[in-house]
Amino acid sequence: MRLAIAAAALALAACPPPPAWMPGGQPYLASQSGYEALVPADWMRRNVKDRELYLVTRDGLPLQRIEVAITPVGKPVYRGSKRVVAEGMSPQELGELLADALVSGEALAEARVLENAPATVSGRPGFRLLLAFRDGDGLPRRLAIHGVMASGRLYGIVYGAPERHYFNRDLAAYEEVVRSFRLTTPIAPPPPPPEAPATGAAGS
Amino acid sequence: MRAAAIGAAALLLGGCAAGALAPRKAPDVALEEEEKGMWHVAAEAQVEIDRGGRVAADPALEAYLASVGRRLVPPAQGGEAIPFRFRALRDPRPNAFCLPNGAIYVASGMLARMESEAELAALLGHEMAHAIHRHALRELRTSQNTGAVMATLGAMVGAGAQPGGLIYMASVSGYSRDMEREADREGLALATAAGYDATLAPHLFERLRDFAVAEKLPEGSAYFASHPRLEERIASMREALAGAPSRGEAGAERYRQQTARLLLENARIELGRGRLANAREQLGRFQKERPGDAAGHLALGELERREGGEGSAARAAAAYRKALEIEPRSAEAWRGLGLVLQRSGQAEESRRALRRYLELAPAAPDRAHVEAALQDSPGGKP
Repeated sequence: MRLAIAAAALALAACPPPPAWMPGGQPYLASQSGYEALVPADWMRRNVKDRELYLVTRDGLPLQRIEVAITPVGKPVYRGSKRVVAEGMSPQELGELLADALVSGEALAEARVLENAPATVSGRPGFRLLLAFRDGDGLPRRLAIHGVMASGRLYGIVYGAPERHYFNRDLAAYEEVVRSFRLTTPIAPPPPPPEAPATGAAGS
Repeated sequence: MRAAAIGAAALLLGGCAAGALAPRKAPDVALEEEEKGMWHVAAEAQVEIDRGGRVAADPALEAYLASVGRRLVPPAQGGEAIPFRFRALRDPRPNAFCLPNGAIYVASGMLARMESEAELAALLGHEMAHAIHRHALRELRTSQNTGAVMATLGAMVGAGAQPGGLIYMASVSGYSRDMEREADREGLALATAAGYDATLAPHLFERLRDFAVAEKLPEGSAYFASHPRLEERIASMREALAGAPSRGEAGAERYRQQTARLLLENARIELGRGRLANAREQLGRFQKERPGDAAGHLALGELERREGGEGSAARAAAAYRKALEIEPRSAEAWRGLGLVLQRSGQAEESRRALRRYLELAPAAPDRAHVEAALQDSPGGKP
């Protein structure tokens, strides 16, 4: 018995901690949450122990980030907003709900909606939202969100980057992620509502 | 630069005693060394707040706030000792704060909860009293935990992005009880001396207490005073006002006129955040003040459309139609009307309204959604 414990302790000591960032170029499967999405080549995915997370960047989170955010039906799109995602909302209504919360919320300053358009996400009718705003340092930034309802949740694929240079440069990679996004049957119950989307002004 | 200022202030703190400080009522009262550091940090925080995108772009409102401030502390009576400056923030939370250098910010959520200039005067008087009595410096000197205070001072620099640090120390309830009480008393005295009916001041704090209860704010909440602490302040305020004459000016009508536009803006923010009851109450007051303003009817239509439930579609349609009577070229009102009629199955009328919307707003952000809806509706073509 003691030997087994000692061997286990030794083995544990020999195990390196999981890397904080994983290289891209392959799909990431979030089986608990019920989706799969490509991590673009040359990008890195944040790796957190015991938690499914799709958060990717190429040059660092302040410069560009793509993440998947999930809001269960009956919950607000983010904490601080009182209106909730409801079953049966049309893609246009969902886009408006999200736009309302973001434009009036605290996270984004001078936010304005540039586009709320229909989109197909994982073969289902969804929406594409495009917003312009300023971060806490006054830097103009853009946020694109593709959203779709499935399995009692709103899935959002969120891309944020500074308006100048980065947003357009990495838009193609984001669109590739959206095209690769595939809904699967989630195993886990819906998560708590997400925080307001990060402005990207600070890395996590 | 900022770090240097904070560091300098931190070093100076080590040697400071919490002695008596003269109120800053004349320009010749010299700034203490660490006070200079605080003013420097405050000036930087001010720049960050101003460029943070939350300042209400309303010069008339700023001029109004400044006029009330000048009436409270005229330049000849000490107003020139501190360069007071007043700005409104688009923030639905009921808050206000004064930086040590006299920059005063009042949130739209605070202005929306007041009903008279007398209440505003008591609030501005309270904030000005913090600067006149140098409460930030006194707080620093008397604090048992210099590190925590300096962290707060450091956080002030990031005020535009994360107001927590700044508001924690400088908000209506951020200083110690004694200093808040002193500012309350001084605010009431300034308002009374300026000819206002200071007996109206507790109403504001009662509404803040209602907010604290509705939001279930815990004891020691960072931004706002908790319910018990507000009760205590209301009681001490009433005590200070006992026997005070209520013959002063309320200035209710002037206040409503001057703040109507911001009230509408705040209602829109509340609407966006889904705080529909607040939005409805504020819109009701706006419409009472400006019944012929299309923007108020449009906002009410948007509220009814989002609220849903029995009768809301009809109420929304009525509000949009009222907005269109006043402003027939309001693209947003045509859009709302089209969407609400679509929901209630009035296809032909809905199509007509949505087509008009696209005519008036050809570059509308949701053009593709609307065109798809027109395509899908019975007998419809975009």
